[in-house]
Amino acid sequence: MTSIPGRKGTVHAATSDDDEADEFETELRPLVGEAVRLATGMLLSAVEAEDAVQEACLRAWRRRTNRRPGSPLRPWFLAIVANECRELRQSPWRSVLRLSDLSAMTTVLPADPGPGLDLRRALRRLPYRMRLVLVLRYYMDQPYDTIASVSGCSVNAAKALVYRATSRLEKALRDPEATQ
Amino acid sequence: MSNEDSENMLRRRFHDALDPALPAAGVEGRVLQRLRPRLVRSTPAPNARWQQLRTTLGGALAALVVILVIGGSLGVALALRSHTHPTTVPKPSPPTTPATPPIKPSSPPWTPPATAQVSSTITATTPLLVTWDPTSEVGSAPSRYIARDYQGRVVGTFTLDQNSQAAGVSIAPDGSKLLIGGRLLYDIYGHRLADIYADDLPEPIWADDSSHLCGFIATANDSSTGVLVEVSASGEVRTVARLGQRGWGIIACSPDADRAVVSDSTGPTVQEINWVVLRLSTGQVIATYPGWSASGAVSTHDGRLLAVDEANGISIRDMATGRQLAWVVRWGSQAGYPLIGAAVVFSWDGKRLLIDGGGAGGATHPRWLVAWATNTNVMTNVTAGSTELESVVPLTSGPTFLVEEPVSPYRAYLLEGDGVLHLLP
Repeated sequence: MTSIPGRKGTVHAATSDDDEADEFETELRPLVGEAVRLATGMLLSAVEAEDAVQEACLRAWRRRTNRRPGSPLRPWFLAIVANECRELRQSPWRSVLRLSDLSAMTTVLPADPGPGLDLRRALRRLPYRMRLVLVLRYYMDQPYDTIASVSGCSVNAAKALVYRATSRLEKALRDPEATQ
Repeated sequence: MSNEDSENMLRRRFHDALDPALPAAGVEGRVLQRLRPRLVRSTPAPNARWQQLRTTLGGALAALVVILVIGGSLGVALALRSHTHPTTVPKPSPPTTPATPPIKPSSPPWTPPATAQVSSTITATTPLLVTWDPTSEVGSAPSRYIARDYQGRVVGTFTLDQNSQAAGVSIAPDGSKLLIGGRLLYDIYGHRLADIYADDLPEPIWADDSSHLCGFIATANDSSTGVLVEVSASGEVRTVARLGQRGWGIIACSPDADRAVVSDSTGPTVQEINWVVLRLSTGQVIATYPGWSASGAVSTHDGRLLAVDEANGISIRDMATGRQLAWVVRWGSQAGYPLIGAAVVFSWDGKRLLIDGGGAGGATHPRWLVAWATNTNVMTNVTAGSTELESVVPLTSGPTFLVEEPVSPYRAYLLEGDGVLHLLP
């Protein structure tokens, strides 16, 4: 039997990649739901949120060596999701729709859409960072240290930002034209 | 209320607003399932980098070749189209204001009814979104219009006998009034306001205050008298200006902005349109822009901006100065030929323009919601095989549109200025 020197190494590399991918996936799995909620809050679209989380997962995998050993995955991954949402919001092609998919992609308004619609509209008008901290605080119930990690600032700055963003949101809810 | 109460209330509002927008159940599984094959593939081994670079370069070269080939084909197709389809640029159905400038006045297709049988359950204040419900027409049942407030809530219905419906119904921009058969003016609450029909006022358009109509007087023998009139909701007719016998069409009529924009299609060639801006209150001509080549045009409600469909793109013009503010090009297709996109409607605030790029027999029917100032697509919507354009009407504030699907199941949407669609209940 002739051994083929290179092939054995390749098989080992693939197995190693598979193991690492397994490990990564196991670690990531419990965070995907939270990531989807964050992305939905940021993008206000189910389809875009799913896309954003998909890309964020891949980005996290590619950047996994940048993560400080022993540091928690959660805030690091949520920060990647938030960045992905920001980039998607800035893309002029973010809303590519096909008519056949409209039903699946549109938000069906409840019978009384008033408060929900108002809030979504108000959120849409807020700057990226303000929307991010509000979604983390009020939709995902995150503590300030996580908000600080995800938004890349100190805990005190995160508190101040949440306060300012809340005031701005309340103003936007009271007067929908004010922030236009 | 304590801070904690206030925070909890906000949390509830966030959940109420965002939970319905979450992706369908099983999203975690879908994401991870799609992710797995990409994980290992996306791990480049050190000795594979050159291979990857070579593939990337090869891909770029291949893309360049494809672009050149497609570009060449496009040029050939355009040249062919300019010879074989010189006048087949389709103009989408007009929304609340007419989309095609050289409106040829003509007599109504039949004698409008002398009266209409209407009833209304609407009591809400305007503005309202009023949409026709085609499913209501069963047998001889009256046609039904559904009224919603700007939040999308159904606030009542307006019904109309089928004979009157067949004569044509034009709804005021804010949903407050209906012009039936070009003659009978009703408010949305079912009250008859006026009988404004005259044989000599074909195809009037609603002014942007929803209280007036504007149009050109025609006589039995002459459809181009050039007499521009404004008609109030009580039926009072006021002559705005006498512009002389030309091929006039009205594009915009705005009492609030004291402006009217009209087109004159008697230029030296079929596609050269003259444009005139007038002060609506006095009839004084403010500006005349001769000979902009156009196959169609739409105006903002106040006549401030005009999107002119030219041969190779859409020019956005400031009607105060005539200056071109932007040049927007979108390509669709018609029967396999590239087809330049045509302007359909501006949002009320003038910041968004809906463009249609499909024609009869087109394999695809793309539409774009464009932020024209930055030439960016806020939304792209591509349908296969459809040639019908939804009814798209701007709400009378901001950048939002009401969109109706023309075929069953006749859904209606709110299309926000940032491209988000909300299905209306």
